[in-house]
Amino acid sequence: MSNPLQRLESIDRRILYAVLLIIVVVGLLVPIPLPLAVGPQARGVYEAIENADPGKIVIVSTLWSASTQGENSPQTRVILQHLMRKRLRFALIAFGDPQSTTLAQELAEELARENSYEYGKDWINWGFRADIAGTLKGLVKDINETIKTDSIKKRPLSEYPVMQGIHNVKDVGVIAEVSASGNYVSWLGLVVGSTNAPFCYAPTSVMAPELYTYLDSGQMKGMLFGIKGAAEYERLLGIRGFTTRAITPVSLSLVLLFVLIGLGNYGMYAAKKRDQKGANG
Amino acid sequence: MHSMNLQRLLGSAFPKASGSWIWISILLAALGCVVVFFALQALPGRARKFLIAAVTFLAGLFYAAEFFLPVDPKTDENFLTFAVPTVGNVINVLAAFTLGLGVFSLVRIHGTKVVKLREGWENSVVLLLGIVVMAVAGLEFEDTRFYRSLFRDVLNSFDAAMFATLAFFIISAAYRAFRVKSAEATLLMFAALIVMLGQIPIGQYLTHWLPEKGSYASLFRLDNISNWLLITVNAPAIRAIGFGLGIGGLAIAMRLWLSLERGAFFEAKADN
Repeated sequence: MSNPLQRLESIDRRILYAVLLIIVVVGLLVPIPLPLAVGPQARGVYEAIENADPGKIVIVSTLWSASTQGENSPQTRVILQHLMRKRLRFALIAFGDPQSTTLAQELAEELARENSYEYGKDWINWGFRADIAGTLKGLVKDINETIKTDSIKKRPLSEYPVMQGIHNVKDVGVIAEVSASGNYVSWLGLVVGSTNAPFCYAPTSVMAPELYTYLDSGQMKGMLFGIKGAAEYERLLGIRGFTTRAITPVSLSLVLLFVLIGLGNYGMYAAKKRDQKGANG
Repeated sequence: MHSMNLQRLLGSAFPKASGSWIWISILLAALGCVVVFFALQALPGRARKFLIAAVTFLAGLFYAAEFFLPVDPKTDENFLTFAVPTVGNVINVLAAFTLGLGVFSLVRIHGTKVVKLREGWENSVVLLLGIVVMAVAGLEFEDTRFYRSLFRDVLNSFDAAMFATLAFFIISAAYRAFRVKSAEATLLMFAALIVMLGQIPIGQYLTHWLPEKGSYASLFRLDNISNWLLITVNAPAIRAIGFGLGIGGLAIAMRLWLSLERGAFFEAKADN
């Protein structure tokens, strides 16, 4: 019979699931106040918006659905909060998943009510586009001709005060993309070289490591690293919202992961030692 | 000058439609598509392949020519630039058709499954009902509580719940698979642990008493080590992979553009 230490190598998965569930629920209910250092990536996004030209429009592009809303929704929220605090006009556009345009619009409408932002005057929704490359090439040349109408009232863009003086991507102050996909390649390849507007990206955590090369080259001015990036941004904005609280279960889950990896390896080591002892007689 | 001439020529050939002319234009375009479709079907395989290769080449040539041809320094445009937004809209319409094609394919496969009562046909009924109900709700009742409830309470909740189960799978998989069996695995595990610890407050708390920057001691802060690993070790590796992917992508794009890619649907058709 194997001893309890060796059994650490093969804990029943249902126990692991139960422990994770408890940790997430307890972490959400009892947030632990821990220091969160603001990294240069989140600071880059903050400074890009902070220094944006108020005469220009900010594009907030979204490519996410409910599946990644745990990370992408707080990222979109903090970016919109900052834009509204700075009274910058902005346009939403969505690619990839049609859910994206509705989810981002719901967030914008909620925040617009809190910040007295008027649709058509302070912000606009350009809607969902099935093709990324063709649309981005069009935005570089002529925004009104490419987008034509907004997605809420279906009226020509030129009729909205928010679009006054906005012709092409040179009239854009900041481009921020919140994404669960690798859409940054299209933005970097087709748009960023044609404008001085800083490009910021807010990906899910699993995608973030592949973007450091573009941060390093300066093509991306900042990045929100998953929900942790959103929590850092809340700190920069001086807000203690849901995202800051949600960092506790994320931290605890990762600690559980470390503990389990340690236990699994210790169990493996104990089993190996027992096998060696058995072989030696 | 050339740009204006071409724009004027196209403008007179396809004047802007308004009122009922829009619907007549759409109908004529749809009829034209049907005629072209049947004409393509009637063509012999080789001729069809040539025609499709020619259209593919011309379509790809537009963006390449627009990008490489010199521009007028005053306007920063060449004679093709004016058409970029329109071509972008045409591509969007084509991409939207592919969404329709996906729905058609789903309905065909699952419809057959239901009609023939194949194993799991009950799931197909749920899927087909879901498509119909969501489409009707989205098209006819977009501003109602009915649609919002379907979207927010059903679709979003299912979508989020399905993705959330990944966390459980990752915990279980990492526990079973992350074993220190070699020097490489040990290195990988320690790098992953440091990067992850550096990203979470609990990890940052362990070394928060060290200065953030400006001292050698700051080099030992977990968040700084994590950042160093991501920027100095990870980024060059990703860049190298990116170069490889870029060159591979360029080669594939050239092959597709010149219709050299073998094994495509039309290749098989042409050989018949």
